[in-house]
Amino acid sequence: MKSTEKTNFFAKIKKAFAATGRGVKTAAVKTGRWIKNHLPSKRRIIQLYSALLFNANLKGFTSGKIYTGNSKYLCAPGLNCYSCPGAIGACPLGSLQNALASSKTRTPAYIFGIIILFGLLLGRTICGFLCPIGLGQELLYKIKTPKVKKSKVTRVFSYFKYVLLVVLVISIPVMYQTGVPAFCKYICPSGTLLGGIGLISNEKNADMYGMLGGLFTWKFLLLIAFIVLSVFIFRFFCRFFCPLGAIYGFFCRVAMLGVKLDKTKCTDCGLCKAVCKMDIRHVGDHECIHCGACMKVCPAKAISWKGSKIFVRENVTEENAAAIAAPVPAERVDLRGMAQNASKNVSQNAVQPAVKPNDITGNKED
Amino acid sequence: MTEKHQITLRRVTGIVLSVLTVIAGVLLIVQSQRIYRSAEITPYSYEKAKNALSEIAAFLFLWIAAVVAGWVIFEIFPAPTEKPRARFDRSEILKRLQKRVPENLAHGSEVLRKAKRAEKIVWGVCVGCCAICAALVALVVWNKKYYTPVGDGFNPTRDMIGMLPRILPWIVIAFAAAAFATIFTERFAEKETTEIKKLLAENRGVSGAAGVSGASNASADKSEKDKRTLYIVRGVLLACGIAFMIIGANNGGAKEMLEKAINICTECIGLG
Repeated sequence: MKSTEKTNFFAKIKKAFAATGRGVKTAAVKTGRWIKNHLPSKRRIIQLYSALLFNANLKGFTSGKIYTGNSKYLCAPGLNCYSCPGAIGACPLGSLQNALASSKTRTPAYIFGIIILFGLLLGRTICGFLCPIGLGQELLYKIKTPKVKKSKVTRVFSYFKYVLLVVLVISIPVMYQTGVPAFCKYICPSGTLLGGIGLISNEKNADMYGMLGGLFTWKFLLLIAFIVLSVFIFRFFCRFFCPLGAIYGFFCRVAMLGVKLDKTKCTDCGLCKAVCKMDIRHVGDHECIHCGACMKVCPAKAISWKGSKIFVRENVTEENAAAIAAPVPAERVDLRGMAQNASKNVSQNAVQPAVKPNDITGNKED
Repeated sequence: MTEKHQITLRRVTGIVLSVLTVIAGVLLIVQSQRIYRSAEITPYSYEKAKNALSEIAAFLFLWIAAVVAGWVIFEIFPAPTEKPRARFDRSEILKRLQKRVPENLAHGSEVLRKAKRAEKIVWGVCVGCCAICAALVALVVWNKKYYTPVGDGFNPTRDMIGMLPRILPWIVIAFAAAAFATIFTERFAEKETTEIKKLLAENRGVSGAAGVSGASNASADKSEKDKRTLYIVRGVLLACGIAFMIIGANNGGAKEMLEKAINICTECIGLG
């Protein structure tokens, strides 16, 4: 009896261990799957790396001093204040304003050259992939609150950044002819967050507090407003306030990198515009930040990366070779159906992509 | 949990997070205002800033916890993934319908002609209004009278505050005009859409240009020409960019940029 009891006892323990092992295995598999589904997309990784790269002087955050090396002869392509303790490059917008302020004595050719090259080579891909302020706003947008959707009216207000460009970035520094970088001084959140708070949060810079006053209070208020509104409105600062995005937007048609639309394949279904969170009129226009979200939903595969034939090699097999070679035939759009749907206010529905792919944009959550 | 309860839970989470986010922002602003008003000269200090943050630290941690909780709730009870659906506002639909209507029919319709005329008037007024507002803003911004010269009494902030009431109303008017024109265009588009649907119904079998067509020989030539122009423009811009950088490096522009970048820009970071 005793041996039977013992056997039963050990059998029970063995069963329990087996069940626990299966449970642990299932949990591990589920966790692995969850992690795989929630890995950052390649675009996000590029954004994180570039934020780290352009603020690589990590020692500056502990020492409370800014970097003074020769790499500051070059600009970081995005909005990255050069007074940030970590910044290793200059800010294009700040440099432009300072150069314009001394435009009577010296032609601001150098910064013009840098901006032309950035615009030509990268265009607004900088906004979508390299700008740390854009990254911050996208992360804030992930907070699970109700969101304010784009509309034709938000597109109208997106032109406000051109007003800021003309008035604060160009006119005021030129009129003063002395160092008054008006946009940096009165608006720029990068300066307040990365430069101001980055420096004064270090106890070694406690003497800087004596210089804070009304200007800092105003800029802090603006910074908090930008942060809070970015939670509800996608890229609030980029869409309505960023003059650097406005400048790069001028290069939308000539930029060598970015998304492009093949009009011969395009069926005008409008899915690309529906999925895009920026105020675009068409793919690749001056509001497009080339994040690539539209590429995944295009049924006709009409949207691709510029230079994709050079930089992205498609995996051609016997099965897909014919499909790659032949263009997708254009389909007639059901206009009556669309008209009927519009009259039923279908346009009020939220849109989310059905597929969460994994490629250079990897738009799992973008 | 039923689907209805999950939807309610997600909605409540969203609302709670929204409220907490706004309150967190307001608290930060209020604390900075309190410090600013605490003294006339040098109101800020490291200790004051630390104390002000400590006072609201508990709420800020609560907000962070709420954000994490919200994320967990949406992970456990995710919103159903919807297929992307194109959103067409009335003017988009109108554009697509217009391609289906033969030109002679479109010209013959009084309603369409009136709507087009009204649209042109609205946009003409809007553009005119924006041009006038831009001119009035330029008159202020490009007027040396509003800029105090460098020297005693040099105060750009005072100048900006003085200019603001002279330019802000015009900017607001221009954007309001553009927004109204956009909204009115949608209303005209509704009338035009109704008329076009009527025309299409009356003239079934008669179609205008195809909704979408492939490239013809003429457009293929055009696209080749466009490509050539694009490459030329790119080449010119590349050459200009490199040339400007070389000129700038020689005329001291690069060094000036370095000098600005390696010194703390106290104005840029809000230190004045």
